[in-house]
Amino acid sequence: MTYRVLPIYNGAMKTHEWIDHTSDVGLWVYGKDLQNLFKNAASAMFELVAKPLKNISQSHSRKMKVRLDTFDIEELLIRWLSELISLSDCKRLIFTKFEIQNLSDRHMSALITGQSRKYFTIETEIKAVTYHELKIQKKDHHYCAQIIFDV
Amino acid sequence: METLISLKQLDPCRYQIPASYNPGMRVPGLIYANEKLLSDILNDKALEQVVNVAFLPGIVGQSLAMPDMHWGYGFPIGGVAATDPQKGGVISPGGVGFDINCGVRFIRTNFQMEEIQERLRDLVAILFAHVPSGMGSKGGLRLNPSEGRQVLLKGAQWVVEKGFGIASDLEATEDYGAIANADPQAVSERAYERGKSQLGTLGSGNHFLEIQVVDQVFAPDVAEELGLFAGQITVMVHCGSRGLGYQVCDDYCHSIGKCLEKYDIYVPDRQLACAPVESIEGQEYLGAMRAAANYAFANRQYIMHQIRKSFEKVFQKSWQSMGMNLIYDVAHNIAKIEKHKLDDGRERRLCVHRKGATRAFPPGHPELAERYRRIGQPVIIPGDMGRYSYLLVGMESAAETFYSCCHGAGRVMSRSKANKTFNVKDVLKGLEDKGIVIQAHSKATIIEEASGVYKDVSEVVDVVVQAGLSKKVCRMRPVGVVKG
Repeated sequence: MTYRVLPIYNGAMKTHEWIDHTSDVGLWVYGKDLQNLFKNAASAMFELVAKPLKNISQSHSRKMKVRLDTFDIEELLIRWLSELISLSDCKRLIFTKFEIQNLSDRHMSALITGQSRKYFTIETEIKAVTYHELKIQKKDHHYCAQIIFDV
Repeated sequence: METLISLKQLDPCRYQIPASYNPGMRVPGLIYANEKLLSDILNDKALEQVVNVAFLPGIVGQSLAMPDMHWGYGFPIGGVAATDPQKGGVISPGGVGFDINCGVRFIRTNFQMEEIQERLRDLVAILFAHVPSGMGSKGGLRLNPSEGRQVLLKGAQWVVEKGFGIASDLEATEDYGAIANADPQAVSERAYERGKSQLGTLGSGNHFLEIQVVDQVFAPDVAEELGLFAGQITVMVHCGSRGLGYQVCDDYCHSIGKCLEKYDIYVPDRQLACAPVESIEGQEYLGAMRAAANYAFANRQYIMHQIRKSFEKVFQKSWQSMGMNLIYDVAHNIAKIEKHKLDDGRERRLCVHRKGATRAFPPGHPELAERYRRIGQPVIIPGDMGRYSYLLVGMESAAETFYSCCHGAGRVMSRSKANKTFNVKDVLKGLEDKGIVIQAHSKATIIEEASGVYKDVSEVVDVVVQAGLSKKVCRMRPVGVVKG
């Protein structure tokens, strides 16, 4: 496993970077704290999935609550992203807003907002979020995680 | 990202990673490649993944990788591993992948190229309209909960019983289109939810539907027995179990993750999480995976029905009169309980994981339908949309791979690099110059699936033939392409 030197968090650093993977898609995501990391990971993931066609009126939005319990923080990050992909497929929604309400090592709850797929250009189908090379790291004042998506 | 693993060349197409390379390896690694393909393989982390797979408890023989191998997640794509359940052998959802029973279906017709040339554009347009494709595509057959359970139990048989095919289609499908001992109860409500409106859909990414022409015949006797001839039009479909399969794998990656501690198993990558085949968790996953695999067989069967209907619409003839019979349907992301002889000559029941690899049973194998007993199992190797695909048949000399072969060309370029290297106009122009008609949902797919992102499938096939894993029957080139 190769680790990269993490940028020092200064409040304005980028939220994520895409990394090369032969068959799939890799992501480095950053956050000032774990809540921010989880939010940025979700935003980056849907940025890969779809691009909005135009500004979407909030009246077309649908809000949903997500609650998850699991056995460690890395598992929780994968469960969170997997749940969003799964809900997106079932409900035919693209999620654009992620409000993490509670987060501990094993539990989380969040309020998510999504809009119908008809308001987006679909770019990439993410089949799943993998555990391959998964690692959440804490560095100085921020967190970083590498995630590989099966596309 | 270059791999520093030292390889021992055994012959022109076999390279070994000795078990002494890492103390955690229970068996050596064996890679099938020639020098050219090996240079691609060394460019990513695929070899490291061959080493990781060799850590699996109960693994027997070698941790194998086919010449189309590349970096995956957990297993390398192109990886084959057999474990012995009697010796604590494990099953790993990561050794099957999220798209459970992703596979390929190959259909013949009576047409010669010149008979369809004028209608090719209409045909591609009608196929594009009749076979839903693209991300999260739905349409096809909508299943109520009871039908959903039946599909998971009976696979392609259920589709045929509904009138969308004939009994002989099932003989031409791996496991007759339905793997026994599937357990619909082990499939979550969410997976049912995702699967209920996606039966008969292609999906996106590297999934495709192609109209092809047979441009070279290598084994005329086998080709003739299968009803194939030079200049003939054929159809190939590549897809899997859609959202239902992704959800099953996702659910079990999570639950089997907990088994590592319970059964005191160490694996170097969390995506290789596994459970003993004979454990409750292992059996539950196996039941759910088989159910998802049956969904994929049903999916490809219904898609074939739509293909037959599309041809009927364009040519105003019945599909029977156009000779649209199924040559074969193979799974290339799956784990199977199979009987194999090990080095001591004794037959054992093994759990064979094929992650981007195709079963290739030899002539005379008892699990093959009577019509394939003389020639061996057809092995379908799709290439890329601008070059070729191949049909092979299994051979006895593939015993060392548990009768497994490659599954395609294998990616060599990441999607982001493809986006920097190619543009849509040039890719489309390249296809047009070769007389290939394409319809796709997304420009991104066209770029990300450009020929140049794949290895040359002919090179890959030459290695498996040289290694005695399969025998060439014929080569097809694409003339019409439908992409998600």
